[in-house]
Amino acid sequence: MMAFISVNQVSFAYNGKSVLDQVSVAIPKGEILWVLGPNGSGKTTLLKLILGFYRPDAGTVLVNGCPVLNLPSRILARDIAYVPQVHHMAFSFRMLDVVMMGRIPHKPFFFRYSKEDEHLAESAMARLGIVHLKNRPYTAVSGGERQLCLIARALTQGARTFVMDEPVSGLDYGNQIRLLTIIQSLAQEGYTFIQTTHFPDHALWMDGQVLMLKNGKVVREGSAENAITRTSLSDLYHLDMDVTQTRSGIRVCVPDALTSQIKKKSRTDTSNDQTKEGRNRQSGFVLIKSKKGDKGKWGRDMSM
Amino acid sequence: MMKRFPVVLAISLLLAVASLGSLLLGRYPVSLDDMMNFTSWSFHGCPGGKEQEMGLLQNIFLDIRLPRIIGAVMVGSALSVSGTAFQSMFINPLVSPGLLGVLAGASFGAALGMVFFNSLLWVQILAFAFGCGAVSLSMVLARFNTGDRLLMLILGGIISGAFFTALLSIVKYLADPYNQLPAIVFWLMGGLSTLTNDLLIYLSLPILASMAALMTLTPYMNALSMGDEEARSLGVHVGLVRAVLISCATLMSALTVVMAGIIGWVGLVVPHIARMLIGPDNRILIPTSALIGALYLLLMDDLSRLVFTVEIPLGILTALCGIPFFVLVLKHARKGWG
Amino acid sequence: MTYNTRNRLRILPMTVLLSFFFLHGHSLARDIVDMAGRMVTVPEKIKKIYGTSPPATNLICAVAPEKLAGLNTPIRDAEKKFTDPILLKLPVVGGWFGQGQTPNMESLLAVHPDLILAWQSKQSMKNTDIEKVLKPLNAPLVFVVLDHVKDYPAVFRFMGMLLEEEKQTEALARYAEKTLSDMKSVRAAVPEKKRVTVYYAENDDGLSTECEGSMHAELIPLCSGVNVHTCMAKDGYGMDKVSMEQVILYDPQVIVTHSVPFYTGLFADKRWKSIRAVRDKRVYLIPREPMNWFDRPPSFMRLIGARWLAHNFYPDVYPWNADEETQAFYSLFLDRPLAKAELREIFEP
Repeated sequence: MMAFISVNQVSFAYNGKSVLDQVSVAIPKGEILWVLGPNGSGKTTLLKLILGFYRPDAGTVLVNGCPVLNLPSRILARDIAYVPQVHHMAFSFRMLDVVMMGRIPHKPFFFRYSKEDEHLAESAMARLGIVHLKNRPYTAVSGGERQLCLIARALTQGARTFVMDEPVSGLDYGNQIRLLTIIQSLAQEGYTFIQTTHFPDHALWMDGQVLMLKNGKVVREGSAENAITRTSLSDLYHLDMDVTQTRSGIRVCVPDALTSQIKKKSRTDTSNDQTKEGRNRQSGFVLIKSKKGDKGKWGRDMSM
Repeated sequence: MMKRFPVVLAISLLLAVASLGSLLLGRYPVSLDDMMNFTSWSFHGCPGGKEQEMGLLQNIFLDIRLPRIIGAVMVGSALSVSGTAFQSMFINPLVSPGLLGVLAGASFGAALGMVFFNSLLWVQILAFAFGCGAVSLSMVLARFNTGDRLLMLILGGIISGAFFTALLSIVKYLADPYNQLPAIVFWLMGGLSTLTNDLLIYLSLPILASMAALMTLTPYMNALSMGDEEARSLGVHVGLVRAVLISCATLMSALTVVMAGIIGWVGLVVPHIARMLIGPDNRILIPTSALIGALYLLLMDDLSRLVFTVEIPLGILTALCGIPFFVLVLKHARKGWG
Repeated sequence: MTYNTRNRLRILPMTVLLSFFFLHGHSLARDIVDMAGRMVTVPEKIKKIYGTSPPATNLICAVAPEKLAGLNTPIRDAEKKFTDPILLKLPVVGGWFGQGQTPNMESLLAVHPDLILAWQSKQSMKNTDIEKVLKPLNAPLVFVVLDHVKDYPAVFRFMGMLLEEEKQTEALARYAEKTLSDMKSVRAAVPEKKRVTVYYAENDDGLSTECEGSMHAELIPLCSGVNVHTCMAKDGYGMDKVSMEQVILYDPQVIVTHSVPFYTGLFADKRWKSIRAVRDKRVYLIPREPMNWFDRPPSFMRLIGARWLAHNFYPDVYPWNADEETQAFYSLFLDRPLAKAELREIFEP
């Protein structure tokens, strides 16, 4: 299966400072990719390279086999939608006006929005349960509602791939979970998600593939189940971590620093760590080695 | 934010009433009867009064007041529209049409014309040329650096503006202190008194064309207000759209300088008033700004020519009335730029 | 200061000077009383003199151009033709006249003035301020008082005494007195009801003007015209903006202007056509070379300007021979005899 988006050996430096170093990843359609890493590890930069905002210093980003920088933004926008972090907007546009912007890639250069555009925008909002807010100013609703508004815009855009930068950041706990549910149901419909996150738990709960970045390099990749382990997390965040399973079978990450008093050791996860390799191939997630020197077991896995 | 349609309709009506009213107002006393007589005289040829009296009325209505009214409407709307476009494009409600140096460049050009050519035509040509030149310079400067395009443009504008302001000071310094210098100083204060019908016709067409072009791009202005990257991800060709927007806005501002000198604050304050009334959606905000700007400048010009036997420079009035209003707007806009 | 005391002060310098001549004979320095009433010790022979502002500098040019140390402003190209060649070679050192061109002390020192002439006026800096600023030059400072056209005879005589050019200045003073007495007879000959109303159009749009009492429009009342813009001049700057309709309301019989673009465009401009002066073709362009005859800068050129203007106001009452009078004036004041062709240049735009 050919990857829908493939990032090949991409390096990128900003003002002479290396941000990404020979990063490769391939994302097939219908996949959820979680990009994990500490602050400044290059997560957001990777997303922006995929969206064609930056020109890589080395390597290429291909969308459907075509270099993303060669694609007119109008064409790209029909395939890939960008859902930025919830931001503060300078002007208080109506929610509906924001969502309607998603129709731009489907219009000629000079255009006016039609009734149909409005209808499409409204139905996207209805789908996410925010149609009652359509006349409210974007600046006057909650963070969760704003995030939903941006997702509604992405839906209106007609793109099947959503690139999301920390979609849950700034949301309260309930809204985080509601947002994850929405992502999950869209993923089941075949939408592709590429998102950065600071919550490895979310990747564990929802499965999907994980890419761990540290100092601009890929340190680990694979299915969430396999890649998120006590050792990989401890290494990634420079923090002793524990990954443990709840009674319901869901795995969660817990920092050691907080649990050291509670002597309740579970070592099962280390064995899990070793035995799940087989699933990798079945998942259809194609791993590409991140750099020559890093020939860990995940690196060998992807040689096709 | 109010209901959009009634607001726009109300402002249009106000503008129409103000325009008609301004035709009746002036230092030279003209009554409504005079106007009726003149209308019947010019349409039916019926002499409602003496021929010479009608000639004078024609002079006052058609040659003196009408060009000023149309001029005020043009300049006010052009400045407001380019201010609104700039504010949306630069995602900054504190931006005015002079951001990229167009006013500084035009001032320098005009001063240059006054000192070295001594003809009104050259003053106008040079004002226009250097206004556009200053903006080009700021765009070239922005290209020198990588990084946030918008920020680089703003910095380029600051540099270009400062450069041309310095050049203007040099010209002022070199100017003959008896005639040229006071002429430059007064010209910089702005005013519509030099406007003639011919000039108005030449200048209105490009202003109207630019305004029309900006109107067609309003959905993109909304998208650009979300930031460059977001706009691009929405399929907007950011570079192209911004270049067109800046060109049109610059053309309009430079032409207002040619018509009326430097008139500040309109391009900053009017977009705020409009946004307060009908919200930030540029599709409706741009036309509303145009209407409010026209109305605002028309009233200011009426004040300028009515209050004293001497004319108050228009630029001073727009600033004096604009500043308190702006303070008021800021007070109401605490929650965000609505 | 009242009119009388000021007049007395003007006679004082002469008497003081005379008495010093008798007492000291030929010494290296002499004491004089300047027009502001200050006792000043000046060199016996003054070689270089610097004027702090154009009115002072212009006086020196008229009396003894070869003694001028430096210019306040660059000489414009159009001006050059009618300017004494001696002046063209002088350095521009700036001056104090409310504009930006404030002199550099060192360049002032470099031209070695041994006397400084300052114009005392309500508008320029206060005497003490000027004295303070000029102290480093270590040259005596002399004030002239020149607020009105009628001050010229006294000013010229004072200058002659100061620079020991009495012969030249006596002729200038006589010319000034003749102009003043001519204007007086015009005033006597034209009854108040018959006096023309005048609008002074400044700026290229013709819509700036001066109040009737303004020093910038002093010639209008002097020549028995009635300035239509009746107001009190607030400052020396002038140039009040007026609206087109205000001018139509004023409906002047005569317009005078110094702006060539305004003058040349006026008769084609529809807005101006209903004004009486335009209908009657009584719009006069002020001769401007090498200096304006009317205003900006207010200079001794006004002595001929007044005659020209009075003639234009009342051609029947005050006839004059333009060519002859102009030639005489330029020879006398500017040391610049004019050819016939040059005369045309002066009167045409």
